[in-house]
Amino acid sequence: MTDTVVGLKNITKQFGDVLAVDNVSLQIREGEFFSLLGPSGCGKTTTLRMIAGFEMPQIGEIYIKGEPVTHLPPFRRNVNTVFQDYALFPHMTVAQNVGFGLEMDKLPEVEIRQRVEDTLRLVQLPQMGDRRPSHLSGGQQQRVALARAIVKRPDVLLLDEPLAALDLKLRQAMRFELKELQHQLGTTFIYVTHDQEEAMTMSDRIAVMNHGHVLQIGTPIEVYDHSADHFVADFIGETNFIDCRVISCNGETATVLIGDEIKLEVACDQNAAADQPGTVVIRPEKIDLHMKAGNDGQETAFVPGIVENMVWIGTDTRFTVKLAGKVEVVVRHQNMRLGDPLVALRRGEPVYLSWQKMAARLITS
Amino acid sequence: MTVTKRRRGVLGTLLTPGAIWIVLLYIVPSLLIVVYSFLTKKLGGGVIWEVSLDSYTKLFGYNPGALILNDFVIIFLRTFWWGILTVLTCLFIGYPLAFYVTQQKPATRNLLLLLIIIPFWTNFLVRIYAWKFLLGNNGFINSTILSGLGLRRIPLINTPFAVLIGLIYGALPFMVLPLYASMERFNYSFVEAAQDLGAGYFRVFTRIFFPLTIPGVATGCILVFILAIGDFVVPTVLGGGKVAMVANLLSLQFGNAFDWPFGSAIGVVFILLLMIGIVYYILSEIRKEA
Ligand SMILES: Nc1ncnc2c1ncn2[C@@H]1O[C@H](COP(=O)(O)OP(=O)(O)OP(=O)(O)O)[C@@H](O)[C@H]1O
Ligand SMILES: [Mg+2]
Repeated sequence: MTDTVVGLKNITKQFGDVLAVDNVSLQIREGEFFSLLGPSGCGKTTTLRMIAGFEMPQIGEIYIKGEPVTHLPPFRRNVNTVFQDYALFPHMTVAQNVGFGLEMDKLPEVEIRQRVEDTLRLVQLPQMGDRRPSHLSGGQQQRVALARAIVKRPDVLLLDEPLAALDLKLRQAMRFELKELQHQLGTTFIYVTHDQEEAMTMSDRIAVMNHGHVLQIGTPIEVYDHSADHFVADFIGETNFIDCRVISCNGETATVLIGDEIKLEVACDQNAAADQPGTVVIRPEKIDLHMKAGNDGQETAFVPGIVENMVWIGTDTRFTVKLAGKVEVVVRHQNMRLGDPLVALRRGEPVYLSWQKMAARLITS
Repeated sequence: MTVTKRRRGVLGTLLTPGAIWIVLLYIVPSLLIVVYSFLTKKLGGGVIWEVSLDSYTKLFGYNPGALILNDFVIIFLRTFWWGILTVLTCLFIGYPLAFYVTQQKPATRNLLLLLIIIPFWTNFLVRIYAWKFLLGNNGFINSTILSGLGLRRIPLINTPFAVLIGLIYGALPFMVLPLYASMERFNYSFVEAAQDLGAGYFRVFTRIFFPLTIPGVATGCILVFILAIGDFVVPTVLGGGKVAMVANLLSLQFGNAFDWPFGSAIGVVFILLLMIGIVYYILSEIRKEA
């Protein structure tokens, strides 16, 4: 593939007896915003550091623009990093920090000055060149770190939780700015985060990691709506997990039994054997609530239940509904209409649930 | 700038003991020496309270025995020159040594630091006498190593070389410890950031590591320089009185020569020279901050 800019092939990295990254393969495409998402300690930083050249894998190859770089030191790779703690050189001014990489490339001073100025303007820090990093706010330091990394126009920009040190408001604003910057530059971004919302809002594609493994690679919509397994579904957004037993499965749709009474038709991505235990996954906002009973349709499932609990959150109401066989399901109901009778429901009252059959999926891993 | 009156009061109270200490033990004696240097020598020690510039004319004036510089100026120059040599050698040895120590595992690091500090548990004079044994004409180096190898003995003791060895030996820990402290504090993510931006090992050192350890270098150099140029024991014991430094000259004036005003004048000039250096350093630091 020609549009792969970074390739990881069966990468394994061990620290002592800690297996930080276990047989990871990734193909990151030219110009995309790619996120490595996972909980603390899952190996995101280690993966990023191997691409940057700060760590060497024990097994596997890393390619940048088709060239194997696995054993090249960081200063021989055309990638730049925005460090989580920024690592701005305290003995240099902002301009000297940003110009450092260009100076290392022995560019003429005039060009360095021009490019530093342009880049500082790009990250909205004009006229800050003469300041010391220690005299800047956290958000400004973050921009300097960004400027320093993009000024060399790398093939790939690596970002390790660059927003983690900022307060919530600034962090949310910076998401859009980063995305906008990436769009303007057209540079490939590899972005490490443990914040699923951050990954969902910014990325073109996400690799979800856990315990050194990549569990799923896909667009935000794919990992959200077609989570590959229990962990991914749980890590990304809110989900109902309902234990079930497989009755039949053809690789695309399956019929499952929940408890002893509820028989459901659901989507499935892999084949599953009859009588195998599994989990039905359905997002709370994909379920509709009704006051009156209805029937199963060709495409919709219809199930009765009893209101167990409800919390009004303004934009929507969060119901916990008990189905037959003590199965509990969380439903998010949009508060679209004034005087909605559903919102007036009380604990213990009957209610009816419906959803698109294919919105519920069987997971067996 | 925005220190309130009350806080200033608290600060003042906290500073009082230290201020009294400094005034009584440093400023008063120093002023006394300045006064003495302008008085007249009294035979057998002490001063006559009669203003005189004799001491200074003697120190800087024409000396019939010497060609261009008089003996006293030569001793000053030699002292400063050896101070510089000691500083440079200590830096040259101490910088890699301190770096090596910081790279070790914590347990090894503490052991190595302990080894550097252990000599302080023994009196300096005793340790310098140990060097006399090592460097003597029948000492360890000459009689055991050189003769053992069938080589000719070389005179070591009572030479400038022996004095320099002693000065370096005595001052080295004072170079290593501040260097270690500044390297210990060094944040290695700066190294990664520099490498990431294309700096190889050499430029990581010259552009990042060394500049960020300069505070340690400066502290170490100042400490070592002050210790070296003020040393009395080393030139006496290892130099055999043949290679005098300012401290020897001083002790001679207050001791054998009983010329207190001249001794004071030497002290005053010595302190002034040092202060010029230190004030210059402090000013340049302040300018850097601004
Ligand atoms: N230099 C190292 N020496 C030993 N173990 C390490 C080293 N670096 C990472 N590890 C271990 O490897 C595993 C993965 O670490 P990594 O830093 O890649 O996680 P992460 O996904 O970035 O987590 P976080 O979100 O907390 O930053 C962890 O168990 C960690 O303890
Ligand atoms: Mg990390």
